[in-house]
Amino acid sequence: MKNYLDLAPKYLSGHKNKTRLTVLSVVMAVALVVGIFSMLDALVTFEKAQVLKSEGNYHVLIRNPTQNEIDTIASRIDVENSGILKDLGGGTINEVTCALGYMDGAFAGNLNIVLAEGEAPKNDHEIMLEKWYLDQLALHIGDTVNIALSDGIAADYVISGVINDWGATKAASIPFVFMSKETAEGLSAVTSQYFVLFKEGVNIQHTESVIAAGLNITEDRVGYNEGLLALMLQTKNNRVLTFYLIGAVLFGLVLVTGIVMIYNTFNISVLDRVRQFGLLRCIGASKKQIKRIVRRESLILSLKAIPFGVLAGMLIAFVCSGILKIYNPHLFGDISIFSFSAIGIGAGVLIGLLTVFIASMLPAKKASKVSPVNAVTGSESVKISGRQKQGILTRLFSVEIAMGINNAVSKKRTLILMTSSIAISIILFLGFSVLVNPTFMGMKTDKPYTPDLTLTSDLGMTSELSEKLSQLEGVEVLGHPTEYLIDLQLSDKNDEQTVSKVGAVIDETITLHDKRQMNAEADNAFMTIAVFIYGFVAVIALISILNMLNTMNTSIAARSKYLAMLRAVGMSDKQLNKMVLAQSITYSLTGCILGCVLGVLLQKILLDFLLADWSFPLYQVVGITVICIMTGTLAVMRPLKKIRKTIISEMITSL
Amino acid sequence: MSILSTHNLCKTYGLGETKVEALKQVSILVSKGEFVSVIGPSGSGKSTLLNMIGALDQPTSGTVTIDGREVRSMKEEELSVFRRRNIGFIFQSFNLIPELNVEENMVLPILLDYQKPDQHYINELLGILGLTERKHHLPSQLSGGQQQRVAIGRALATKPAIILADEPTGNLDSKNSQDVMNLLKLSVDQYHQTVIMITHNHSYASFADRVFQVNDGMVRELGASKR
Repeated sequence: MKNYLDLAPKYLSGHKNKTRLTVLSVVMAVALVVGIFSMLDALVTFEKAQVLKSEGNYHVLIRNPTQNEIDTIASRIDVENSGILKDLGGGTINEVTCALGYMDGAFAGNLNIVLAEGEAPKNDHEIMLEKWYLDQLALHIGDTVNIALSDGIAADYVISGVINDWGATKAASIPFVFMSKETAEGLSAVTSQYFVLFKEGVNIQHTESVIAAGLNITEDRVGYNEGLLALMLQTKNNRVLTFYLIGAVLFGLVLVTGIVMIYNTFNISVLDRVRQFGLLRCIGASKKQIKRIVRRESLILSLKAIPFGVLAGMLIAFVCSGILKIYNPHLFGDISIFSFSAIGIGAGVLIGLLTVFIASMLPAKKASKVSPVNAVTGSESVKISGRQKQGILTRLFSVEIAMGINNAVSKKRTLILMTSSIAISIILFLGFSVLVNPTFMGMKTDKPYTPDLTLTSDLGMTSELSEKLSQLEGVEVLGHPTEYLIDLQLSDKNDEQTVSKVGAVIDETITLHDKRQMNAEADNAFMTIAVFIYGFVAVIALISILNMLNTMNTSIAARSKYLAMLRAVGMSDKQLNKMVLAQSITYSLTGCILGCVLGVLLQKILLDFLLADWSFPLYQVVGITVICIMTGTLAVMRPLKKIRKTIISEMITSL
Repeated sequence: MSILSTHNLCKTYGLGETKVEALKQVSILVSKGEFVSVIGPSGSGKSTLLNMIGALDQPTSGTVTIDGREVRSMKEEELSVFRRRNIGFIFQSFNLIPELNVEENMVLPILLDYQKPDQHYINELLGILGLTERKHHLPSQLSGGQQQRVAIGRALATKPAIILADEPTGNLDSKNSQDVMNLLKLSVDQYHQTVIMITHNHSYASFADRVFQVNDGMVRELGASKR
């Protein structure tokens, strides 16, 4: 030993059990922060992929732009890409209703108009069609179709290319026909939209207002890709800003929880060492030196704990990403599960180190305040208030239960630490459950009555048809089919053979609406959010329970001598169990009550803010109370077993 | 010259009805190299006196001067440094740091003072205390007598102005008590240490050069014994 600070590692290795509990607590706090923030980071990545797919890769759009506006905007240095989409009105293709349009080739990819085969229409009377329509009519590239425009003028067009299906048009069974630039210029557009994608790092709100002011574009002609802008933190949409605020509150709460968890752990470990610090003060340690020893201990503990915490947190995020990737390999195929979230890890390490320093500062201060007289007299005084002396508790309960409750209540500091530790977890849980809300998650389509295929007909369908359909293998007719509408569900959603069997049963007067892609797209949007939101809540619940177990464990381990003393004066094992249990459940319940009151209040405030309905979360509160009592019981099992095994004299002599 | 002097030392605990005068107008003088014992029944104020002399607690009124410096005028931080350099404590319950071995326990006060231990002196102490073989043992691996010898070693390690021993034999059998008394006496004779010892045992009190009796907060010298 060269330096008095070597006391710190020696103390830690001398108390392996306690050190392990403390490290575990810091690991959990760091894992919580890293996990939640990595998940948040991953959520943004996945949501972005989702939005780019469903809404398209653009920032703003101008409705019905003039050529001058297009030229001015396109030539701007901060514009990455831009293009126009024209709606050329309805028409018919081979006498079936269709939608006609034109899209700039350069921007088509940004709106997920992806060429599957052939090439985009270049010349007059060339068109591009969706794959599902070609398949349905067994058409091929190079074939000629007859198209009548909205004005009734019909002509033959050659199919030059095929694009991937669109969920919406496929479900509506209205094919979208893309025309060449030349053809489009000859027609008058019903509406047109000019899409603009800015370069990275551009302040979109500012630039957009500069452009609008310069070209006198009124606000009602400007549209925004809200989903994408929201993810880029570039929105001015009030509703999105409200979500941000709620997110900030909740994620701020995660940081606070991390801090409270670590702070409490250090506090508990310092509190029961009053005597040791007093002794050190006696043999000449100054307050500063005591602080340094405590801080050194904290540093060693956090250096041990932070790497594990970061790893555990990353693992949590990996699992969430993994679930999403398995669920939708196409959409999220390019996103790596093992992405390292700088935000998550940074936040975790920062909170870990910072809190350890801040958290250890206060216990260190407390430790340094220990009077050296404490070591000489050897007793920490427990102040007993007059009221407790009158023994109300002993009249209500048996003596051991009264002692347990009294133990919990009389040590104010420990009570505050335990209660706040449990309460903050509950507040966090209740706060995050607000997110489990249709407003946040988007409506889920996959209800039992969501049809995969819908048959419609203006001429009416016979009941024999629906009977025939229901006899097909893997097909179920939903609800009560009418003359004009039959909803079908497939047992295997990817079974194309069954779909073609259905197609073979129906005649030309009946239209088949294939809603599977549209449903799947909506499902994906739901899943992306749901996996993360349930992930958040699950991680918080798990860590809360583990933390509670750990904190209880620590507090009992710290009192093993006191318990040995009670056994020595004749407390039976049964009584001991009851007493410790009463104490632990007292902590659980005070924490539970405080947590539920504040958590429900937070829920109400957040939901009011969202203008959503609030009702008392009875199930949640009941569930939390049950879990609290269960955890309180579970937490004392192991340490009690250990205490019963130890020989009384061993513990007493070390008093 | 006197290494320790108190002048009209008073200490009161509590207020009003619960007021207890633990020390009343105590004035004593102790010279360097003296072995002083303090006797008195429980609750007489012995421990309070020791806390005052050991600069662990501040008096209500009066002064304590150790090695020419007045304790009361020192600030908290100064006091810590003063304590580590000038006062060595020996407790009834040994109070060793359980995580440190014998040698480490002994040098800890030196390390707290940011000094390098004089290994020669430490080895010498270990030899005198009969702990050379045991210097790498933890307190839990030692007998009570051995633990108290380590505590004596720790008190001697910094060569303090005063060693304060609070019932050093209280937890020991007669054989070990005898050893401890001999070692304390030895430290007075060999290292010219000043030792102030609280004890219940009148026969051990007679080891000392002078004996003070404390009764109801008042201190009376029983007059020079043997020497």
